Amino acid sequence: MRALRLAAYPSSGLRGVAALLTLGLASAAQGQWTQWGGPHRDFTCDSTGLADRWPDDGPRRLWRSDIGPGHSAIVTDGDTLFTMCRRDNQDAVLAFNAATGEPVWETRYDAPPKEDMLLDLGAGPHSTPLLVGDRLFTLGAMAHFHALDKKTGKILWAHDLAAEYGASHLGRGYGASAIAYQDNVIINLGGKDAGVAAFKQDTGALVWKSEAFRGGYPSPMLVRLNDEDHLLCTLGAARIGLDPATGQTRWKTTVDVQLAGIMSSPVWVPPDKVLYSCAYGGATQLFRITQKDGAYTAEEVWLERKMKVMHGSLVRIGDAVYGSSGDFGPAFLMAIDLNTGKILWRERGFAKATLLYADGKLIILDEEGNLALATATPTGLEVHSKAKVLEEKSWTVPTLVGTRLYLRDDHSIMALDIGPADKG
Amino acid sequence: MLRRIVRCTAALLLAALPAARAADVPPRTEGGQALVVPEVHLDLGDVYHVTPGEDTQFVCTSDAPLQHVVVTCQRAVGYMVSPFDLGANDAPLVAGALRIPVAALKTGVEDQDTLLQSTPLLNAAEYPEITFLVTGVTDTKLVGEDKGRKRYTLTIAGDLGVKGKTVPLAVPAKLELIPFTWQTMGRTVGELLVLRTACDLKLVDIGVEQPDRSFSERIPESVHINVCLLCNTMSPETLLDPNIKRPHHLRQLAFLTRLRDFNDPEKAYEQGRAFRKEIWDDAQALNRLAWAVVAEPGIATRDLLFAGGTAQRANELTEFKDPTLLNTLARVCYEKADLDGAVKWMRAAVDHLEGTPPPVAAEIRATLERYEARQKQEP
Repeated sequence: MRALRLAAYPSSGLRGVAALLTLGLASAAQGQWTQWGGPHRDFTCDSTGLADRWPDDGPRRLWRSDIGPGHSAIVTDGDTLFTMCRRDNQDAVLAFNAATGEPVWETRYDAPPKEDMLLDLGAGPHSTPLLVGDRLFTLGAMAHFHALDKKTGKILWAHDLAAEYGASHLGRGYGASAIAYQDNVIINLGGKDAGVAAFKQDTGALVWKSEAFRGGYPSPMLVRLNDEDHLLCTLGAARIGLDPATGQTRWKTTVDVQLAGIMSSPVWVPPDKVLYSCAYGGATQLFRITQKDGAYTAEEVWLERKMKVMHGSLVRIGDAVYGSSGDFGPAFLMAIDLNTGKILWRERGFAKATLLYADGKLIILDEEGNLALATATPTGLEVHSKAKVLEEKSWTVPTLVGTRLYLRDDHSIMALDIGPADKG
Repeated sequence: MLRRIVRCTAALLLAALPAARAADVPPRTEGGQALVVPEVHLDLGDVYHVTPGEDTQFVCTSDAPLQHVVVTCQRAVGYMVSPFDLGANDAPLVAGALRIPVAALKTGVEDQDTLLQSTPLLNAAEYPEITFLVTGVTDTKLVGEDKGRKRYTLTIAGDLGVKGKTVPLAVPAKLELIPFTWQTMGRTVGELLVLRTACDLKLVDIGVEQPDRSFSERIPESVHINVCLLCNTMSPETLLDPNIKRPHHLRQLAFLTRLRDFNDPEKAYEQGRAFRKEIWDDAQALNRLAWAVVAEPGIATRDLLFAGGTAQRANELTEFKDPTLLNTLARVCYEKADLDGAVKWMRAAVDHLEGTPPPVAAEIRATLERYEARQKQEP
């Protein structure tokens, strides 16, 4: 098996070589975006050379291809793009040539909806594939878990998580994305018997199961705390830290039931804090994880009810976190102060949006298909360019590799060059 | 370009009130079910849109010696604005506006509705809407707070616009801010603001006259008005179904606003025919339009020819295989008293139920049973 594994570290001082060696992780190579949230699983990346502004009609489009419905984000090894869509009662895993957009392969499997699902907003797939070496790990909305050969799309192993482990489809479809740790791949189960589980990457054999927790949409993430690896999981009203090697619970806390509808991924704030944001009458909460006499506890530092991120990505830049707040009403792009929990500013100019951060710039894609380039600081948002590039219902966070931005909605997958216009 | 950042300070709130006084009541949005909120009000705080169509928003009691009439309205649209960051001593309301279609004031008696809209009374032809603009708030008192819910008493000053007259009012009110919870979701999604008030209104002040002497014992000097407005951060024009195109949604709302709220069938069906041309190849959009004409509550004039043609086209596009579209075609027949046609199309709908969600399938089967039962009753 190739040594390439994914570092899930937020941009922090903990990206040192020693820490990576301790984990047995290697940072994703330049030119790749192999997991949910990108190289550091925090929606930031190290791309440089982005244009300062775009032409009025948007960045240069390199190619566009047809795709079916689904919200899976795009991962890539640099040469090939991988994502998922829905084809009638099947899930489809798709590979595209990153340079041309030409389809490379498509693998489908049966995934009929369960009778107790609510699929008026679509039957997914919601979760994003995970690329580790030559293997691609996928999760569909009906909780089918597959490992595929990335070159051919051949299915290497499969689990029906609902049938085998009682995994929850959460009504609107399973949505969390897998994460790699050592030789394992870790996923949410949200079943009666286990909340989280790890499987061998090569065989699909079960390695461990955690104690039982309800299902949850936020994807698990790995962080380093007190020289130990912690797997942060967000399942129902539970906020949890697990030992990623064993699945043993290190800490857990239960929040008000109104905060159980959380969908966005948490934000790790080194060295010891984690921020959660939740819509549907929810809030943004900061917790501090402390260790005393070998036992970990999580305590709330602050709670701010005015910032409620639904399913968009949150981005931390310094002492501020930026996100798109709102569910059924209007959306506000907001900045919140990590130290105080105070709203720094709010901006009405976008529908619900996902965010990426690279090269000192915020890339904003709102659900109406408007793509923008902006500078966000604690004092305000400066929008440099904004253009409509996708149809409505653009819920998928973009993928950035170098200056290539990959986007999708239910109809199209496309590549844009967001480097300087005269580059080529 | 540095985008303007919305900051909410007491100074800004106070500064905005004079601006609101000078402004007119904003126009309706394209769909007609909300008002265009001015920038100056957007900057003040969270906007709560009045939710039309679900509650009795206004009850006007006219209690004369020889006639007792209760007028209700469910179709007021508008908004209320509450500060983003509400301090302990801040007024919970800093701006607001309403539009109330006179044609949507209902007594339950057709002749009384016609009288209400006549020239001496509210003159709907010339002044199709009553308006209200919040101009100030005083006497704010926070009287209760629990789990994020805040209850206030306050006095709302505003300009009432009736028959071209502007009548200044100051009314005591109760206002409650209710955050979204899993419990409130049982009623509606979104953050809520509920405004209640009541007042007596002298009819002479708003230009209402007695049609002739015979009404002297039937129309009182003043009427009592009760108001309960459920307002929601989610606009009534919000599109929750991602399968519907927003421009189509707004066109359909505009059609319904004209037809139902303003009871203007001539212009409404003109709009409807133009809209139908745009969606001529979109079976689902055609179906929604046809269904609205036959089934939307509160429509006085249902053009069943228009609905039938629209439903027919939707079914042609789907080769008479979509049970929900067949259900609409059957309903048009039913409304025309063509029970044979209604039963025929409902049977076709039941024949094509494979893959239909169970609750929808059950409803379609029940509808067929109802139509068949009715068919048997006919000679």
